Amino acid sequence: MEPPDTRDIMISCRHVASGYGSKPLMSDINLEIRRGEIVFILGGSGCGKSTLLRHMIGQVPQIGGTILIKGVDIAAARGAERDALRRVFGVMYQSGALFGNLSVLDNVLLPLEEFTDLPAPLRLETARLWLARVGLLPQASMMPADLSGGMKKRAAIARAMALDPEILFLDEPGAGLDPVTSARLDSLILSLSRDLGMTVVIISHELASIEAIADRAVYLDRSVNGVLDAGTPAWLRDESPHAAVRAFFNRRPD
Amino acid sequence: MPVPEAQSLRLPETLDRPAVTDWVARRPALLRAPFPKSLDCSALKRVDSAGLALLIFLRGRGVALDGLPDGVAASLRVCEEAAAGVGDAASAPRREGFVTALGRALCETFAAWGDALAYLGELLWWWGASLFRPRLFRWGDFCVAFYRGGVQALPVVGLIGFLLGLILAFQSAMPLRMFGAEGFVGGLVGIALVRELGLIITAILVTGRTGSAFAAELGTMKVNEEIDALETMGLRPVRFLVVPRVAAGTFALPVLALFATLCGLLGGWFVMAILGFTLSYFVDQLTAFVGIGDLIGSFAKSFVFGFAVSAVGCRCGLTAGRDAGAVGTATTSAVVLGIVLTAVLEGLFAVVFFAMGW
Repeated sequence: MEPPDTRDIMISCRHVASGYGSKPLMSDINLEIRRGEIVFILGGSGCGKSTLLRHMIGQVPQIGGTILIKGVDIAAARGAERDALRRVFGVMYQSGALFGNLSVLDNVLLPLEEFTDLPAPLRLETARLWLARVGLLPQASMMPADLSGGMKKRAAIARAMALDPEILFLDEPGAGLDPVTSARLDSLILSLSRDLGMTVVIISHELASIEAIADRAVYLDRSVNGVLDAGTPAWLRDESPHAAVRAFFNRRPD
Repeated sequence: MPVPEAQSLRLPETLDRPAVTDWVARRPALLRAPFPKSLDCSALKRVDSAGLALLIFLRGRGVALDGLPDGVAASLRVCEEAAAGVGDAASAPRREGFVTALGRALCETFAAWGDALAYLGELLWWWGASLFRPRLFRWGDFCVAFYRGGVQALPVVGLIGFLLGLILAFQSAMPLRMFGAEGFVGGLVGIALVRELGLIITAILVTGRTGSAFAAELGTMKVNEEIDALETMGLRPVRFLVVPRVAAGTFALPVLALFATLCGLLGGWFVMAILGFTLSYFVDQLTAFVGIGDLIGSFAKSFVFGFAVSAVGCRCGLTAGRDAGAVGTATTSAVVLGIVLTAVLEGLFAVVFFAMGW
């Protein structure tokens, strides 16, 4: 038997009912994500993965249950507490969501200018450091419209990382990218997580990415109103008691 | 609080964002030349990106980092390797000389005029072609655009026209009364509205209402890559999107202008009635001062105005950029260009009609 995991719990969902309005997509989601883990959240299209992400980042309140980020209920947090909580995580949206009227460098500088008292030369150096880290320093003065899809996502990661979050949420990082670019993005995510001890939550069903970098995957299914199974990718592929999960990982129809 | 120089250059154990902010704030001269020779990093245990940025910044300016712990040195190496080979030149745009800038501006202006001319030609070509082959014309789009830009505009155009006539009559009646000439108010309002004002106010309203809507609609389609999709399918955006909209604008504006003029005359009569004149007197005034030629000339002009305003709107939408601000820019330039074009055309027509002795 494995020794119990003693790392801090960063995200904890307890009996979460997820959805918009009053109609829950799933009514009982339970999961825990610990510091330094790379966790993939999987599930069929339309099962509410992105909705769960929006609950976790406090953008849309869940219908029921509690979501704790570092022990704080994000839906109940107000004012300064909520602002502090938002500083704990960075989010990369599916399309990058870079601000079109700002250059790549200014996009990364924006959170530093708004939320820190660092002197200007150090803000610039920090932004350049993140752009270098994601490999976009040569494109620093370009506008987002002139970037390729993969570059936009890397720039969005640099912006999300600018304030050194402890958790990074990524919505479909590999969607619309070729396998090589997607693999590069994976290794960037892996190195950020390993070097900085950062927790990474990824919404995606790119099998290649899951097998390459996931510590754990959580499979959501509406038939059980929540988590059907969770574990390491290898375990889910070969030993999961659920046929649907094995089928997903082996790329087989049921 | 200033710190004695000897201990000031020993970095604290944790160098995260708050620590950096605090540490640098207490040493305001640190980030400016002359830089210190060395920094004692032996106590350093934990850094975040702001801490690394400070180290990179200082090392890049010749400061030696003494006793850097291995972990921090490794993080620093990763960042510096990532940045290696990329100079500042890459991120700083190259400045161009005056002559180059002037030449580029001229070329771009000529190219823009050329493009506009080509657009006009293509628009007229496809419109003409669809006269001979009605199958080419998108009747559905035309009807929707005519309904939105014409029928739905009737209330606002009528209201503004009525108020225009009312104000014109009332404001001229007061001074004319001093000369006992208030009976001529009907003629004054009639000439002003029929020849110029009814049309101009309608053209401006249609620019703001319909031209901008065309620009926003086509601009959004451009941002969503719908225009690209049309071109890839081998469909010309000008035939498919622009011709029906411009046709709708061209036929809607004369109707609206006529309606605005009628409402304006109604407003004028309203004031005349208050001043005690009868309807038959007002109509006599109108027929005495306003000839059928005025009406025909104005009606002919209104087609040209409708064409110009909607063609400019569509053009601004088609040439929109691809970012979030593009649609806003396209809409603004559609309205501004539309109004400027209305004024220029009005001037041109005045000269032409004068030369023709109209």
